[in-house]
Amino acid sequence: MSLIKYYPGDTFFHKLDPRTKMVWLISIFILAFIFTNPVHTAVLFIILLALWVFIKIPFREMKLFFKALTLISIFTFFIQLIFYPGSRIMFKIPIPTWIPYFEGALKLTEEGLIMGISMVLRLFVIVLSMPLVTMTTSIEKLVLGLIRFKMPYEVAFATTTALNMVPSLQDDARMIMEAQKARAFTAIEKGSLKEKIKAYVPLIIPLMVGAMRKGQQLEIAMESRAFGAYKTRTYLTELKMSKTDYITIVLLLTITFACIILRVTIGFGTLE
Amino acid sequence: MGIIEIRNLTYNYPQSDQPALREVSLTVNEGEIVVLMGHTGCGKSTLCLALNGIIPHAIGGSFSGEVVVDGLNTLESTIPELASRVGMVFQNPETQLFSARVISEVAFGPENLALPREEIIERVKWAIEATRLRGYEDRPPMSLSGGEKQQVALASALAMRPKILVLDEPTSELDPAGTYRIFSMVKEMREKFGITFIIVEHKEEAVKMADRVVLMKDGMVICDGDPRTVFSNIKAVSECMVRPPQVSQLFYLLSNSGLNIEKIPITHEEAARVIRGILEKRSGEDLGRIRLKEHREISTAGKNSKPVIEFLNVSYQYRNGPMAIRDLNLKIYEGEFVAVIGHNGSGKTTMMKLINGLLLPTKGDVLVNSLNTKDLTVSEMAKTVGYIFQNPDHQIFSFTVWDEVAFGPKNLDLPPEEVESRVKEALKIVGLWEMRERHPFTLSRGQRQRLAVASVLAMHPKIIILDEPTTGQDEVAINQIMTLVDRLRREGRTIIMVTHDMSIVTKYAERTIVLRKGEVLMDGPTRDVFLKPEVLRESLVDVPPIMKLAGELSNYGVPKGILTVEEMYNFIVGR
Repeated sequence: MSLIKYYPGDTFFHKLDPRTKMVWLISIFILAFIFTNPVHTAVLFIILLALWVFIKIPFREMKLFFKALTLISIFTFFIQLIFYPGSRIMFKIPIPTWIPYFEGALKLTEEGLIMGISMVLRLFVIVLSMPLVTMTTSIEKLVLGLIRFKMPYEVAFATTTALNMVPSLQDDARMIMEAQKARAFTAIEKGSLKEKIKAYVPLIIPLMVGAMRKGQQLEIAMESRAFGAYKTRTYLTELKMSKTDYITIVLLLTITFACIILRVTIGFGTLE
Repeated sequence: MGIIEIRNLTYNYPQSDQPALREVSLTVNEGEIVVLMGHTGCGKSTLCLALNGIIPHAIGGSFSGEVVVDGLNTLESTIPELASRVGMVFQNPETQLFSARVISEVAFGPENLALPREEIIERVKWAIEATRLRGYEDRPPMSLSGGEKQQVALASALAMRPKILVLDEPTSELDPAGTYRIFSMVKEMREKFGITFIIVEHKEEAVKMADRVVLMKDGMVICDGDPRTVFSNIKAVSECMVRPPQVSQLFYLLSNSGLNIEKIPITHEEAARVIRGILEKRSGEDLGRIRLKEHREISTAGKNSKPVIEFLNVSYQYRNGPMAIRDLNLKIYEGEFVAVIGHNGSGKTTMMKLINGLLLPTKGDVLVNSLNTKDLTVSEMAKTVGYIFQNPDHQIFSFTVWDEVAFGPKNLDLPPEEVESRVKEALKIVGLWEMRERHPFTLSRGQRQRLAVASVLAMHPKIIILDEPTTGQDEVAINQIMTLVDRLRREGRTIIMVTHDMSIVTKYAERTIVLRKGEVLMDGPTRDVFLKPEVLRESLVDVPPIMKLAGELSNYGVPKGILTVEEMYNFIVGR
């Protein structure tokens, strides 16, 4: 799960306050949402790619992520290509007439093609923008950023602690699997679907029980250090908005609003 | 007025009609190190939680009596108020650390107290210094070793600037080096900062640094006093199922044979003084060098037979990780009882998993009964190699004890009558037959451990691997498991045991393999291995106290090879 992991660095993006990054994230989402024209989405995509290169995060660790992304993109592209209604037909692929909706032929249209590209690009933009924030911001800063946005600190803590517990639970799952394997447990590999699902019981129960026990023990540990003592708490980490942060936020908000207005008035970013 | 005053504390957990604590009264003075001992379930942890208000405020239950900590009555105070007086460290490092960096973990407590930021920074710095963690500030706690994690837990508790620190089995999961470090920090903190310590422990090193020892049984305090007085009360010690220091055990045997001794020694130096006195009185007689017969039967199958396990030039490297085992070449023979010891990270568990096929060598081959582990699945290996894991809760999932034990044999596709007979046999061996209809979660930890053993035994393995069988167990549970294992060995099975507990190594294992950084440092009869303490130390292993005693008495004719309490006893009484 290296998407959540924090890779320290001192690039411009790293140094931005987490709140600025959150504004950035929301802006990107809005823009990706309102732009349907692949040209405009491509611009967003290129900006993102540039940022990814710029933050100097090793791509090697992301191989699995990119593979999955590519698969989903190809799938999305073909869905658009095949299903999107359009008038400028490029190719016609005959198919049996009993398949509903297509009336005997897959019509690959220009519009479908463009829409396909646009969708894929939007997908990329959305999926690639989030890790940029999580990978360049330490957990403490993220939590603090959320809290400054008025999220109750118990909620922020619950989320980050849960995330931090994931590796521990993964360890548990592995140990449970090993213990059951050592008792000749193979049911997950063979059997019907129903049997396979039932087969997960010897894994799920110890895992759940273990997780609940861990939760209880964690609660006691946290209370023993006065968690929840007062309505507010002080923080070791500090968040200070710099001039760069304010300028960046103003720029982002301006661009976003401008695009929204242009979209609504003259259809900027659409395919009309 | 002590810094802790407990008066007639009686407590029941919610929905429980058995009191966890009965009329407990205790006074602790500031700066004392008090060690709390007793059988599993005697109420030690419950008592700890009553000191900082978790009981009753967070857990509920019915509470009568009074607990006053640093002048505050726990019933009338809140947990946060008490948290600045009493810090707590728990047994499992995994479930008390949850931050992304050491420094944030340590700051967590002071942050909760809403202290000004400068003060938080100062406290964190102080706590990190006091626990020797300078340089660790930005490291993720999850990436640290068990011992280091406990240091972080200690620092996190210390950052609250408590006057009292309560440590509940802080070293159970640690190796001897980690244990030593924690205990030495405890002593240092008491010296430097005057902190009062309440420590729940099983290990004798804790006893040696205690000002007082408190023994508990079934929720009651049975005995309370300085360590020597307490351990002189043999009846109380055995009632509470506490393992006394090795040298004390020797004196229990001697006093049974008529030796009159008022205060039982707890360290080997004290014991040496007393024994020198005894031996000097006999100086006229021929002290005689007894030939130390092997007090364990060595399998007669011995070295002439085929090995049941062979490691041929085995190396193992974890993916993206270190080389855990390097060029291992070993043979283990049928019927041997082998102990595998060494520092944390030396490759002991890796070696065990290579035997039952959970791991396959990255280089070389492991043969079990002449079959290569690469050719068999783990399930197939399970018919021959039984692996008893450290934590029984990692495998228990059935609704009845019977079903739990039947799981393994059923996986082997055995006919139902066979399954039934095996389950019955296994449950009877571990003494859980009467509990066969009970839900496993209603069993105590020691019983669940035996349940895990039974579920492995029902597979009828010829080779049994034990991973840390005695961690955190009381004396009775340890004896039950080890006697059982020894019996299995005498029936012809091969036993391989990974442990940090040197007293059971010397008592049960005829052969010891010492690993260091993935390689074999020593391999031979236990007696020979333990006669080389300098070499052992290279793998951060120390000889058991009884051997240190023997060392102190070597010019009194005590044979060097004395390994166990029984052997020392036999020597002294002249057998």
